[in-house]
Amino acid sequence: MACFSVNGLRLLLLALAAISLFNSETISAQTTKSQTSNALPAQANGQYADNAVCQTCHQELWEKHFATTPHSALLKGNQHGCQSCHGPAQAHVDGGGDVTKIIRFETLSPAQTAAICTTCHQSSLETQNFSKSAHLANGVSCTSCHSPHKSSDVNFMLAKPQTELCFGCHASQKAEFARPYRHRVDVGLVQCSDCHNPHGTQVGHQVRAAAGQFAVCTKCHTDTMGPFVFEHAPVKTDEGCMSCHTPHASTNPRLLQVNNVNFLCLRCHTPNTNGAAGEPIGPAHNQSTKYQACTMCHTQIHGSNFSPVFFR
Amino acid sequence: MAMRQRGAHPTVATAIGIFILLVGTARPQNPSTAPGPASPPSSPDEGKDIGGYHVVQSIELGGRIADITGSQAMYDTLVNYQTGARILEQSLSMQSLSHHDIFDTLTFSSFGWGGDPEQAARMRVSKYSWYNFSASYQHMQNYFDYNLLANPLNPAAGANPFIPILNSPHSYYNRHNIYNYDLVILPMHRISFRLDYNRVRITGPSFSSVHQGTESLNNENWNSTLNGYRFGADFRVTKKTTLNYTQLLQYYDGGQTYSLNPFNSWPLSNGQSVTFGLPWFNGGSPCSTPQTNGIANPICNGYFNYGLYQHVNTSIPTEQVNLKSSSLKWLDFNGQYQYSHANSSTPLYETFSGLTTRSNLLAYNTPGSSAKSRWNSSSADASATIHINDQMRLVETFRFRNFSVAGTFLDQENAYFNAASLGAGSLLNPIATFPPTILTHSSSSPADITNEVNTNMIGQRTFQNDFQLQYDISRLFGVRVGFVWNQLLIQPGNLFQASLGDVYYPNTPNRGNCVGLPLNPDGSCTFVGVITPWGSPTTTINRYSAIVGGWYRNGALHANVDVQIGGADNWIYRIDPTTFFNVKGNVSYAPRPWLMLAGNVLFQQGQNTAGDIQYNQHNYLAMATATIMPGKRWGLDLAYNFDAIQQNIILCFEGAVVPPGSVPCLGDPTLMQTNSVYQTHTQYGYFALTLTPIDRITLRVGYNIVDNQGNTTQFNTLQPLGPLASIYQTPLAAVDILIHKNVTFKAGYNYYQYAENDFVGPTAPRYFHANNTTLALRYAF
Repeated sequence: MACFSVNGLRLLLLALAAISLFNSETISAQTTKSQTSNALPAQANGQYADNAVCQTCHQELWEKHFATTPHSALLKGNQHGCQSCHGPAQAHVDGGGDVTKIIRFETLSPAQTAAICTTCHQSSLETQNFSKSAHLANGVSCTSCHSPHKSSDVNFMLAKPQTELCFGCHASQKAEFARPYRHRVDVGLVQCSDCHNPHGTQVGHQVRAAAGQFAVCTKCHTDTMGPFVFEHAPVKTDEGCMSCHTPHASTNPRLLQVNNVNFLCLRCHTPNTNGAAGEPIGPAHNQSTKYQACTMCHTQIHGSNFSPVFFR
Repeated sequence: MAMRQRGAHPTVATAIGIFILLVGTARPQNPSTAPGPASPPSSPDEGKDIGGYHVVQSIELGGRIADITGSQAMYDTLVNYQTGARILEQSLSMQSLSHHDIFDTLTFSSFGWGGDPEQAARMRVSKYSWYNFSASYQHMQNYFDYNLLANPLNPAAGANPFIPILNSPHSYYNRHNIYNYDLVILPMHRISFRLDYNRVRITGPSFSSVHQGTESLNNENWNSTLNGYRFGADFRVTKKTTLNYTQLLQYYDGGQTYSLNPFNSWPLSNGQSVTFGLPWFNGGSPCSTPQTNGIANPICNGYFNYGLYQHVNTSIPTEQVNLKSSSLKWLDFNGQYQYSHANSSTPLYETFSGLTTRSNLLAYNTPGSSAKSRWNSSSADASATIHINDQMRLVETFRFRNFSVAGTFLDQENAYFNAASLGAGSLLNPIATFPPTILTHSSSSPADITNEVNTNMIGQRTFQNDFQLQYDISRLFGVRVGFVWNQLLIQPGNLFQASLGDVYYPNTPNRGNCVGLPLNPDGSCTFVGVITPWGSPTTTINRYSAIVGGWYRNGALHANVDVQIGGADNWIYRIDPTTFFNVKGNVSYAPRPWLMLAGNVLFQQGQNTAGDIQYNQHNYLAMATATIMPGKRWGLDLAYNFDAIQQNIILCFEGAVVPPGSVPCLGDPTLMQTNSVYQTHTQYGYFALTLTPIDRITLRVGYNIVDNQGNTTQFNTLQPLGPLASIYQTPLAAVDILIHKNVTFKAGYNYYQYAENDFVGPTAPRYFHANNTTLALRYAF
C-alpha cells in the first residue's frame, strides 16, 4: 500500500469514471428499425410501446412473477421491459392484443428462441457456444430449461432444480448415479454443471476443460493434473481419462470400466505382432499370481516424476 | 507472483460465515436417494417481508442413527452416514422488494453439517446489472476401501501361516475440500469484469505400496493445495460483437509422502524386526520360506525402512481470448484462442533399507535427485453458424490443439551392499564401504553410484472439423446432417536416458551398462554415455464420421435421435476403434400436467479388427421413467434401466491358469493368447410413492436397486467376480408431520444393502446391510 501513490489513485478514479461513462448504457435487446439476424422472427421489427402498458392486461404475471426475476432490470433506464424479449408491442396494443403482432415464444423454433435470448446473453463465456451446441442441434431451446417469467430459482431461472431438470431428458444418467461408485450428484455434492456447460463448449459432450484444455477431471482430481516427467500417455492423449474410467458412475470401484485391473491394463499392454510401433510393451508377469494386481507395483498410474514404469 | 499464504481467504469468506447462521432458498437433494425424509412442497405464500426484503428460510436440525451389520469398510465406502447430530439442511432466500438495496437477491443453502461425508454450501448475491457474486464450498470425506483393489490375493494353500490382505492396500481416508468464489462486476454492461478464486485441498491419510524386491504396504499422506486466480474482462465492442480476455493463474503445492507400514513384520534371529509386506507365498514373494518357527529368513526380500518425500510446486499461467459476433445478420461467429504453460519441479528424497535378493541390495538413498516438467498447450477454436434463412443454417466448427509435456528426472542414487566376504546379501549383514571392502554384487545389481538424466516427452496435435446442415422444417421438428473429421498426431512417449557417470564397484564391476568397459585403477567401472536414445515414432490417426439427427417437439412430446457412423484409418491404443456406430434417442411425453413419461435408448458399438487385436465393444441401454402426480394427495415415480456392456479383445499373457480356448502367442509357449471378454448386464429399478392423506402429514416409501451381473475372463482362480456379481439396494420410508405452524417433524428410515453373489476370495467379506434412521425438526417460513 505504501507504493500506491496519490497519483495512482487519481488515475484509477479517472479510469473508473471513463469506464462508467462508456459503460452507462446497459445492453438492450432489440433494435427498433431493422431485423438484425436472419434467425429472428419478423415480429422483431416495429415500434415500442410504453413499458407500463403491459401491466394493464398482464397484471398477475407482472406482479407475482416478473418483478422478482433478474429480467426486471430491463424496466430501468431507457430499456424496453417486456418488449426486450417479446419485441416491439405497439402493433400488438393497437390491435387490441393481436397475438400475431407480438413475439410468442411457444410459436418459435429453438433457434429463433436462442437468437432472441443471445441478443443480450452473448457476452458471457458461459453462453457463447450455444449456437453450435448439441442442445440446440437437438431442438433444446433456452425456454426448455429456463422459465423467464417465474421460477423458484431466482439466480438462473431454471424451470426445475438443476439435477431434476437434467434428468428429465437424460433419464439414463439418473440410473447411473444410483450405482455404488459415483460422483456424488445424487446427494447434491456435485452438480451436472460442475463438469458440463449446458450451453455448449469447444469439446464433445459439452464437457468443460481444465487449464491447458486438459480433462475437466483435473479441476478436482488435482493429483492427476501433472505435468509429470513420465506421463501415462493415454491419460493425456486421445480419449484421456475415459480410456480407463466411466466418468459419471460405475458398478466397478474407482469408476473403472471393468472389474479387474489386470483386464483393464492387458487390453493395451499385450504383446502385439501387428501393432503400430509395438508400444506399449506387454507384461511378462504371471497373471495367475500376485501380478494380477498391476497397480500394487505400478502405483503412480496417472503419471510419475521418478519412474518410467510408474513404480513411484 | 508471490503465493498467497496457505489459509488466507478473501474477506468475503467472513461474510459467508455470517450467513451460515441464517436460512435460505432450499436446494433439495434428490428425494429418491436422500438419506433423510422428504420436505413438504413449498407453499407459494411461504416467506415474510422483513426490512424491505421478501425472506424465505428454512433449517432442519436433527440427527442420524446408523446400525451397520457386515463390512464396515464397504459401508463407509458406499454410504458412510454415521451416528450423530446434524444440521441436515438450511436455506435462505432474500429478494429485494424495492430494488434500491445493496443487493437484489441473496440465496444461501447448505447441507450435511455435523459429520456427513458430503457437505456443501452455495451462496449467490446479486444486484442486477451491478454485480453477481457466487461462492461454493464442497467437502467430501473420501473414504474408500474396496478390498479387492490392488490386493495380491495371497493363497491359503501352502502358506505358512496364511496371511490374507483384508483391506485394500490402496484405500483412502482423506478429505477433499473445494472452494470457489466468482465475482462479475457490471454484468450486462458494455464492459464487465470477472474475478474468480478457487482452491482445492486434499489432505489426510491413505495407503499405498511400493515394489522393491517385494511389495510393502506404505502409509501415504496427502497434503496438496491448488490455488487458482482468474481475471477477465468482457468488452461489448458493438451491440453484436463481444471480445473477452481471461487470465488464469494456478499454483499447485504439495504431493503425497510415503512411509513404511509395519504390516506383516517378523523378528530376525538378532531380534530386529523386518517387514515382509503384502504378497505372502504368492508369486515367489517375499521368498520361498520367509519364516521358520516364527523367525524371519534373513535371505528374503524385506524392508527395515522405506520413505519417500517429494514437494511438487507447479505454476500454470493460462491466457484465453474469445470473440463472439453476430453483427452480420446471416452469421454467428465464435472464436477462442488459449495458451497454457505449466512449470513443475520437485525434489526426491527416498530411502530404503532391507534386502532385495535378486540384486543383493541392502539400502539406497537419493541425495540430489530432482524432477522438472512442463507443458505447453495452445488451442484455437473457430465456429461459424451461417443462417441461410430463419429455418436453415450451416454450422461449421474447426478446432486446432497442440500440446507437449516434457520433463527431466535427475536420478542420483547411492546403493549399498554387504561385504563380499559375507556372501550373498542378508538382512543380518551390515552395510560395507568400498574402498577398501569388496562388496557383494550380482549381475542384476544396480550401479553403486547412479548419476543419470532421464528426459521424456509426449505430445499431441489435433485438427478437428465438424460440419453440419441444420434444418428446422417447422417450429415442431428439425433435422440435421453432418460430417466430422478428426486428425490426431500422437507422440505417446519419447524417452532419452543418459548416464553422467554411473560407478560400479567390485565385485562384478563389469555389470549393467559397464559390460565390456575398462576398469578404473581402483577396480571400479565408470559408465558415461547414452542409455536410451531419442527416437520413438509418432502415430497419425484420421477419424471421420457422418451424423444424422432429428428432433420433434409439440409441447407435450419432445423427442430426438442421433445416429453417428464412422471409422479411423489407424490406431495407437489397442482399444481405439477403427469403426464405430452410435444411435442415441430421447423422448419425453407429458400429455397432462400431472403425467410425465420419458425414455432413453443408446446403441453404441466400436471395433478394432486389426490383426491379433479383434477388439469389439458395445453398450446397449434402455431407460423408461414415469412420474404421476395428479394432485397434492399422492404421487408416484417409477424408473427402469437396462444396460448391457461388453468388451472382447485378444489378450496375450503369461499365466499358469489357462482360460479355455487359449493358444500360444508369439511362438512362446509361456505366453497364452485368448479372446478375452468382459460382459455385464446392469439393471436399475426405482419407485417412490408419496401420500398426503391430510395436509399435515406426508408419507413416502421408495426403493432403489442396482443389480449387476456378468462374467469376465479369469486369469487367477482366487479372483472373484466382485462387483460383476453384485446387488446394491436401498429402500426407504419417511413421514413428515406439520406439528405447528412453520415446524415440521420429519422421520426417515433408509436401508442399505450391498451383496456379491460370487465367492469372497482370500480377503474379508464385502457384504453389509445398514439400518439408518434420520430424525429432524424443520423450521421454515
